[in-house]
Amino acid sequence: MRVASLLVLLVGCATNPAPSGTLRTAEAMQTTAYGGYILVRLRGGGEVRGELLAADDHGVTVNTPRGPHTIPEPKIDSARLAAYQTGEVGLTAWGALGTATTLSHGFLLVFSAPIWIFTTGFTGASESRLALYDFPGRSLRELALWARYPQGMPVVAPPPPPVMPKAGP
Amino acid sequence: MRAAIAVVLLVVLALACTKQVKRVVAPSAAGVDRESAFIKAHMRDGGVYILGHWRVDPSGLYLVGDGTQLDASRVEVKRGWFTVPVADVALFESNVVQNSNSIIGMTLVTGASAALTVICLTHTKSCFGSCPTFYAPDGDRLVLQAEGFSDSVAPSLERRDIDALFRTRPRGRDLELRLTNEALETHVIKEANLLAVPAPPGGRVLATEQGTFWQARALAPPRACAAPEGDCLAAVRAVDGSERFSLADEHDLAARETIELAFPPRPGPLGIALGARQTLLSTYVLYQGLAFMGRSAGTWLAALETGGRQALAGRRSVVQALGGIEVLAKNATGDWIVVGEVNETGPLAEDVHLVPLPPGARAERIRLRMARGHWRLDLVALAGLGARVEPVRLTPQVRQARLSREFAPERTPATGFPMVTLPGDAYLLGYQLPQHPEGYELFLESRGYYLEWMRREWLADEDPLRAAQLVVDPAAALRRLAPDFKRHEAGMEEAFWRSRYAGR
Repeated sequence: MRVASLLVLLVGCATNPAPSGTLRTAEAMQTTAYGGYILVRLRGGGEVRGELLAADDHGVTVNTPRGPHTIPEPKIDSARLAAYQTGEVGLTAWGALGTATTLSHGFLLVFSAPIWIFTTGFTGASESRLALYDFPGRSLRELALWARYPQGMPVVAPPPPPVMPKAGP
Repeated sequence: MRAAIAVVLLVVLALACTKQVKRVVAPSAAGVDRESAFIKAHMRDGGVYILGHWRVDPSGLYLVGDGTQLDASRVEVKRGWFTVPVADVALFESNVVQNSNSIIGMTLVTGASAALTVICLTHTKSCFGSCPTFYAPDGDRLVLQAEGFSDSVAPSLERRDIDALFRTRPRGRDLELRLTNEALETHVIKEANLLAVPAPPGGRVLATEQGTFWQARALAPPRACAAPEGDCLAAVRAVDGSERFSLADEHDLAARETIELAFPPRPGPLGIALGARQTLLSTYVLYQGLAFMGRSAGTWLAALETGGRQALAGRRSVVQALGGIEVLAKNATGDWIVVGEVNETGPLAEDVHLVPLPPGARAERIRLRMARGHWRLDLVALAGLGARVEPVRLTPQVRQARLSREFAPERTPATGFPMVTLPGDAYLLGYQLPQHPEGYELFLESRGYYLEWMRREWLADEDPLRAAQLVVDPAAALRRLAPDFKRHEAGMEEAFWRSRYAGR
C-alpha cells in the first residue's frame, strides 16, 4: 500500500498555472476568441503570466495587466500553457466515492479499493495534463494553436491593452 | 443506496466535465474539421468571425455563416449572417469537443465495482465472512483456520464446535488467535477454548465429528482418485489449498456424486482423514430460506425456539437433504456400506475430520458420496490409528479488542465470555500452551450461536409457502431452487476464489 500511495503521489495531478475561474470549459472553447493562460519563466529569474496572445518560433506575446508583453525565445527558460478546463476534480470526487463504495465488497475490498485508488490517481493525473502544454517539451509555434491570435499579432493596428475576462457562460 | 445514487450523480457530472477539444487551424477552410459546429475566421487585423451553420459557398470564395464579428480587442462589432471573403481570412479554426479518453478506465472500474457490489449484497457470504472467524498462525502469519458453530443460527441451535487448527504448529507456549465478526450477523460466543492434544512422534491427532480424538500415524494419500470429471488425485493429496469441487446439478441441488479412491494395503485400525469445507450452496439455501420467510422471519425463528423437537427436526431436514460427505467401504461380504459421514457447516475455513473404519472394513477401495457442488475436498488420506487421547482445555484471555463504530458505537469491549460481537468487531485472544507445545495438536472448541441480519433486498423474495416447503419437503424445495442457484453459482464461486479468503 505504501508503494501504491507513492506511485499515486509521483504520478499526481499536474500544477495548473491558471487562476481559478480563468479557463473556459471545453464546450466554450468552440465560441470563445480568447487565448489560453500561460506562465513563462524567464532565464535569470522572473516570470510573466497572462493570456497568450500570440506565439511563434521567435517568442511569445502575453497579455499582462500592464499590456501586451513580448518575450523573445532566448529569454524563455520554460513555459506552461493551460488551454481550457479539464475534469480532474470531478474524476477525483468520482474516484473517492467509488473507493468508499468498496466497503460493500467485504474482504474483496483488499483488491477493489487499491484498483479504485490506482485508477483514480492515474486517470486524474492524465486528465489534468490533457490541456497543458509545456515548453520546451513542445515548440513555441505549437502553443500558437491556443493563442488569441493564432495567425500572429495583428500588424495593422495593435489592439488596446486587452484584459482577458473571467470565464463566463 | 445513497452512496450508489451519489456515485451515479458524480459519474454524470464527471462525464459532463471530462471533455477534450480537438482544435485545428488551417490557412484554408478545406483544412479544418467539417464536424466542428462553429468555425472561427481569424482576420489579419486580429478580428475574428465566430460562425455557426457555416459553409463555404460553391464558388469557394466566401465563407457563409450565422454568428458574431469581434474586433482584435474582442469587442463585438456585429451579429447576424455573414459572408466573409475567404481571401481576407488569415486562418480558419475548428474545435470539436470529444469525451476524454481518461474516463474509459474509470468507467470500466465503476462497472466492475458496481457488479461486485450487486454480487456482494445479494450473496453476502461471497464477500463477507460468516460465523465467528478465527485466524491462527501458520508459522509466518495469521490465516483463517476455523469458523465457529456455523450451524447455530438460533439460540436453540447453540452447539459446541470443534475445528482442527491443522496448519498451526506452535513454536512457543504463547499463542494468539484473532477472532472476528465479518458478516452482517450478531455473534454470541460463550466459549472459545483451545484444546491441546498430545500427538505421537511424527504423527498427528485427528478429531471425529463426535468430538473424540485419535492419534494417527503418517497420513497416506490415495494411490488413485476418480471423480466424475476425471482424475482428482492432485487436488486431494495434501492440505495445500488445491481443492476438488464440482458444480451443482441443474435440476436438483441434492443430487449426489461419487468419488472412487484407492489406497495401498495397510494394517488396522484405520481411519479416513477428510479435509474439506462447503461451497456456497448451503449458504445460498440458508439465505434463500430467510428471504422466503421475509418479514415473518422473526416468527419462524421464534417457532424454532418454542416449537421443540418438531421445529428443530424441520430445520435439520434441509441440512440432511443436502447431506455431508459420506464415507463408504466394503464390508466382509463385499457390499458397500456407509461407515461414517463428515458434515461440518461452513464455506470459509477448511476442517480436517476423521472417519474411523470399522473392524473388518477393507480400506483398499473407498468411496465418497456427496451432493454435487456442495463440498470442496482438499485432503483425503488413510490414517493408521493409535490410541484415543484426551485434550487439555485451555481458556483464553482477551488481550486486545477493536469494536466497529458503525453499529452501537457506545459499546465497550468484552473482557471475557460470553461475548457478543457485531459486524467489524475483532478480538485478540491469548492462550498459554502446555510445556513442550510442539508435541501437541491444537483444536479450537467454540460454543455459541449467531443471528443473521435480515437484508432489505431479501424481502422481495418473501414467499411463506416456499419457506414452508423447505421445512416440510426439503427434497422438493431443493429441486425447485436448483435453476435459480445455477444462475448465480458461477458468480458466487468466482468471487469466492478471487478472494482467496483463507489466505493460502
